Amino acid sequence: MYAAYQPAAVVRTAQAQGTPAAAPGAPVYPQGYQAYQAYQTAQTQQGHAATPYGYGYPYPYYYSPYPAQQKKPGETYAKVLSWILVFLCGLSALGGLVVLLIGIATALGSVSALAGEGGSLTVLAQLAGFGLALLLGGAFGMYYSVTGIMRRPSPKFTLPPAWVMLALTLLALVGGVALWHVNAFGYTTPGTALGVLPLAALCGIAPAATILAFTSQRLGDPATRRHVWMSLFWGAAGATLLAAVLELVLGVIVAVLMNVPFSTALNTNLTSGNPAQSLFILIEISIIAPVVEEGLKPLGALLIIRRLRTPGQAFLVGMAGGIGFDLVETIGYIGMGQADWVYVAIERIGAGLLHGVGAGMAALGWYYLINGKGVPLRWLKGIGCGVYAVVQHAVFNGSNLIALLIPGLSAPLAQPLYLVKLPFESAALIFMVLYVVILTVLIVVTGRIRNAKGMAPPTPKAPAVPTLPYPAYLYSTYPGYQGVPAQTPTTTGGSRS
Amino acid sequence: MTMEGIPQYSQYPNYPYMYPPATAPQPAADQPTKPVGRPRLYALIVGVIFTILIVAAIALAAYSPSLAPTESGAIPRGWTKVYDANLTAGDDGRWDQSQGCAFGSSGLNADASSSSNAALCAFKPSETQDLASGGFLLEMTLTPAANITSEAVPLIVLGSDTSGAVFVFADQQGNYTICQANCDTATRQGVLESGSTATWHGDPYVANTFAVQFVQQGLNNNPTITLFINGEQVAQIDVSQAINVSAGAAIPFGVGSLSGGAEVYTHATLYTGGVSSL
Repeated sequence: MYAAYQPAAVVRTAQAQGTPAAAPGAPVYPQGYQAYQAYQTAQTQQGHAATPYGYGYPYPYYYSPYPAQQKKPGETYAKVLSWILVFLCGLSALGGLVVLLIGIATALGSVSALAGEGGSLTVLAQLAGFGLALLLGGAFGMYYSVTGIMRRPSPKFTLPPAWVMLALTLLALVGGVALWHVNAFGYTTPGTALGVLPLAALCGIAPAATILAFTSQRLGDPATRRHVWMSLFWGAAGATLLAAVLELVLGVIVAVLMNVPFSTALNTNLTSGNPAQSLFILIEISIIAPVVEEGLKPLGALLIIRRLRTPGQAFLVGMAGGIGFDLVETIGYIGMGQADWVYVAIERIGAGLLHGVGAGMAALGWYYLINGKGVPLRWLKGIGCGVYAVVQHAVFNGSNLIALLIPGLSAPLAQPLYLVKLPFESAALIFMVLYVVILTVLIVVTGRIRNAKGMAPPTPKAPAVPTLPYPAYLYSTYPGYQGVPAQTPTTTGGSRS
Repeated sequence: MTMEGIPQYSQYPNYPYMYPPATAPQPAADQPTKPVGRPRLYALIVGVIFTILIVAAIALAAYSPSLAPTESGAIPRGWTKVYDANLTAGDDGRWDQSQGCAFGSSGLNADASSSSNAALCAFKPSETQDLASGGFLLEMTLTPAANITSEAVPLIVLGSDTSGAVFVFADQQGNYTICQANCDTATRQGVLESGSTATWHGDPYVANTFAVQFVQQGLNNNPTITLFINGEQVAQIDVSQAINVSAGAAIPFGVGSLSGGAEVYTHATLYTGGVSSL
């Protein structure tokens, strides 16, 4: 009999959308009640006048004044955001296509494609990294935006087990090191840029994917594919582009203020030994770059922060932005090694930790600041996470200048280290130590937030008790129709971190 | 649903309808709480694709050197190795040291780091013998960049004031330039060709080799220069507009470094088709 209160069509709709079962004790609350057709039909057949609710009860049913459609919290915002994203992603895909075409034209213009004269790995890696980020980011972005508008559910974001990704990382790097030695011993020439580009790029992608898989699995795969991939492509395409522009502009402004030659702003090589230049570079890489990059990378997560329900989700989605940023940056750096790209790939094996953990912490900070109502020390946690992200980046970048800052270190750091015959700068050891420290931070932070239940979802305003159009006593004659008792909206969500 | 204090209407157990707890329906598309699709299958597919990509990339990288023209393949039959010297062993009398060059324990040092002129170390036999008309290939091994305190700029020069000259040089990042005398890289005036190459060792502790081949009748039957870096062909251009070759006339060549840079050469090898010995 009371099945009519939960019309089958509505329930089906809810299931089709992948809506999780309502919270315990909460009935499915269909949006937009239809007429109670079952009653209506039965009553009409029995000769009763057809009333909206079939009882022959002359008064409007209680639900009548209730709004027919109540939008879910943030629904309009999400839709507008999705349409804007569709547009921007379309532009991004087109831009990526143009960049890739330029890359191909460049490659074909100076070399005879795969079999030809060298070609520049530096140029190709940067064009390929950025072009693919724009193209794939745009294409995936459009797909996910449209599916979001259609309210199609997005599955869990999963990757192969982290140990599998680690094994693949080692496979790629060992392959690169082996090929380098084959060349170093004179058996072959280094190879063409187009020929080595896929392996060089994969040696940048695999470690970052390992870090992302490790984090996601440690947090229990808390986020959706849509959120993670969108954030990742934002970091790869949007954040890198904006960061490059902002860092250049701010660098030039600081150069002007410090009266450092304009060319210095464009060249951060530490060759002059000039104190003013060293100070300028320190400001540029340890203040401007960290603030700009840690501000931009988590923007993808920030845009949807109200839809992220747990600290783990926020951290993972934020980290994806950092990983995306790292992919483009690292592939570009690896290309600069040219024939020795593999030593750069090894030196930057943990760059995904630097950018990923930084962006994850920044996103976590935003999560506490925006969603953290009721969390103890909310502001301290929020600001602290953001400050950590910037300081971590500043320390890492500043370590490049450690030889200048600590006299006596320059000589030991100038000595090479060898992996079989492949030489490294000793300064790479500093990076490795910092990677271990950041990995420790990642393990500790994910350990603390993985079991933290989320914030209560946004509380919808309880619909106002409708004004009864008839004196209350008339209602009271109908025993089943009681006045709606006032309720205090309750929240669920459990413990908070 | 029985609510305390509220009479239950037996025929309509759902009455009185209570507002649900103020837990908004979760945005369906954003919550991965309900498994959708097959996450494990998805992860497996990603893993398999990743593996295939890496193996294929290794295979391509291993195969690609065999597709590129190499220095060893560019030496015609009939050419002979007429000079092969370890320059770290000291002065062998073959190199002019009057224009910014000097031998040291690390090799032939061309230092123009604090000079407004390029350092030039002419190969003396080329000034007196016609090594060019039959073609030659000069390969220089460079010291690793970490051993040079200033910017490393290797340079090979072919020609003279009278014949015209071609300069072939590179920087530490593997950007190379081929230009005629008095060229300006900023405005690209006189630049014949420039580019960057993946064959350059960017690791500052790894030595590079820098080789130039000259033939009188190459591209379009004109004088042609081919640049090889680490044994792989990087560029090949017609230099007829930059250099005037007259039969029997000696065209000198040598090595050095551009103004503001320096280079140390540790080994030199010369192949030529014109003479069988120096």
